[in-house]
Amino acid sequence: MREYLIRRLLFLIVVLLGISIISFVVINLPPGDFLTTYITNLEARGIQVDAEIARALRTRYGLDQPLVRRYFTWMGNLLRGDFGESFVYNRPARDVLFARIPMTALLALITLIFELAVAIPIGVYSAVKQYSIGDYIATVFGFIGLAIPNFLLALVLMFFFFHTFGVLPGGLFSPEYRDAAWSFARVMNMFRHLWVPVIVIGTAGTAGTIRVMRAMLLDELGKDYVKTAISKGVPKWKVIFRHPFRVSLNPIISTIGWLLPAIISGEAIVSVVLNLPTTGPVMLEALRSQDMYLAGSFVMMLSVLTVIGTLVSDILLAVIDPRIRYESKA
Amino acid sequence: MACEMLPIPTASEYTMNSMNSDEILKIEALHVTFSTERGPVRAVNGVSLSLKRGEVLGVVGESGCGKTVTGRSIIRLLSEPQAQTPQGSIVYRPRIGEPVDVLKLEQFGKEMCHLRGKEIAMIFQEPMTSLTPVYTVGKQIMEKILTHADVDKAEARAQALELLKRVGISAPEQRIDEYPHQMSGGMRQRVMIAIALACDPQVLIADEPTTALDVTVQAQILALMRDLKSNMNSSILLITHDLGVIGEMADSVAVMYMGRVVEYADSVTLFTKPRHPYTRGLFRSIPLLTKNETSRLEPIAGTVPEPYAVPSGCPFRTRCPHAMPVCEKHDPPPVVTRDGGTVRCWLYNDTDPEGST
Repeated sequence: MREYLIRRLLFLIVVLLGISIISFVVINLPPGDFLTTYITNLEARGIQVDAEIARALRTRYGLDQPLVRRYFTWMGNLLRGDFGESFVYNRPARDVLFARIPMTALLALITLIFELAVAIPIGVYSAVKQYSIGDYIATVFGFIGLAIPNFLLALVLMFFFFHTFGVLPGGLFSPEYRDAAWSFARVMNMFRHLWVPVIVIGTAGTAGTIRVMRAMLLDELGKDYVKTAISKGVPKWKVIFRHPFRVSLNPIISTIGWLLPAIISGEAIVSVVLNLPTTGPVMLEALRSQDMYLAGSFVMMLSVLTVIGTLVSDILLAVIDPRIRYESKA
Repeated sequence: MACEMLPIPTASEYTMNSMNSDEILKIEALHVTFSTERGPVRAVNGVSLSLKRGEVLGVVGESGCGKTVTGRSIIRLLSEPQAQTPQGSIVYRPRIGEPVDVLKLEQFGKEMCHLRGKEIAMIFQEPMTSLTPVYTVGKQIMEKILTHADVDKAEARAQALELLKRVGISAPEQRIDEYPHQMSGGMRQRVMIAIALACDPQVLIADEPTTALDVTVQAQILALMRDLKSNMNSSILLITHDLGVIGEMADSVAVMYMGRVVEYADSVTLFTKPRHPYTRGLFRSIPLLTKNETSRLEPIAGTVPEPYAVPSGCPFRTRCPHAMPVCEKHDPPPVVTRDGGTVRCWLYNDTDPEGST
């Protein structure tokens, strides 16, 4: 197991290096750079930018240097924890990023809990009472939930909200709390707003998890070991939860690691629609305005979390499924 | 293994009055019907059997003859939508308390869960898939002990260890913490037997316990079961398609064909004087070392009829070399033979089915 982990970690470094090269190149691929966009914007507003100043700015930000050189500078700084400057915000990219991560992580976590808490019981019921009315209702809900794009659901919910209550449920706080210091009232205010994004973001995941839970459990319910457990005289629900349910949880537990990247991407489009203070909108804006270092930081963070998430998934799977643990050892 | 007894509630006196005190399990007129897309299938069609204390009763027949369904009905293991709840009666006589008809109990009720495992245990055909993959074998044995006996975990573990020793697993202290996938098929079947033996059940239902195993391992498992039988005085219902296994283990034998018992006799009688044409066909179709080497094996003519279209009268008549006109019209009732067995065949029945009374 330890050898396996070390091997995986070494491999992880290689993968991340590869990702960093590709993402750096891709970010730099569109013609021009941040200054071109910036200057064009200024010129559109009728402000002439001196070519001399533009060149000076380029030198200052290192934009005049060849791509390879810039990559190494960026990587070198990154390893020292310096993510570079954000042109748009005029602040270190790291600060921009980390200012929004706590809220994004909180939202992701609550959404995850919501998803599992709703989906697992419904999935279990659906499988145990296959072809019952409840199962059909869950199935229909599952397909609808999977089929509706999240941002559309967000728009519909907002419309519904505005129509009935006359309030827009955008953001996570009411205006008076938006910039206030943390207090009990602010937390309560947040939870009052939180349920809309949680439902919007969680619907598709819940629907998907119900389907996975149902299919996995149905698969396991027919297995021979369930008959063994029943024949031991264990009561029905104990049999279901201890044996087939426990086995069918494996894929669900093991994919929890994949949710790590969601903490950063933060459901970008939904966040834009609902005006949430998460990382998603910032990332979109950074990519659009060629805010190179900020965009690069986002892409790298996403990659790191994806790779780590996958590793966490594999470790989780090895922990919960003895068959896998011993196979990797062999 | 001190497992506590719970009082068993009294059930109907239906079959119980006819039950001898040496009979521990009595199945009467058992019917199980499965509804399939092509129509209802009568998997078990009026099976009556009785298992005596300390006896090994072999149930033999081809695939699909209803022997497994019969075995599973006893502990209500079939998934039971209303349509396929077994009909008839299966009366079990516990060590203490009144006889109970298991078909009258709620499938997952308290009494049924107590009977299952504690009183009547089962060994399955597929040791490779019959253990839960995510728990150690020790935990799976302990689960049963902890379900039925009022002991703590340490005591349950000690009992599990003892059971593993009893079924002949080497290095049980190490094996008890291993997972099923780390064991061979024969070893897993030993674990299954250990689970079955936990809490000293009175009846053991062994459904093709050796079919999935190598021949050498089969012999070991059979030897183990014989040992256990002589040491613990419990009764075994041995379900198999293998006449060799029956010959080695069984005291008496029920031959099943298309969901019914066509012949029942003690083992010696059945092997020396098979009566029913189907039983005789079975013996002619297996190689015997005592047979003249030049004699050829004779398969039974034809194939088992589709379960959706059971022939009228005797279900075996389409393949029977002795078929008579009466076989087509009337299903032969069981006839008691001189040796105390029963046979369902018009060859042995003098009564006139068309008779006025």
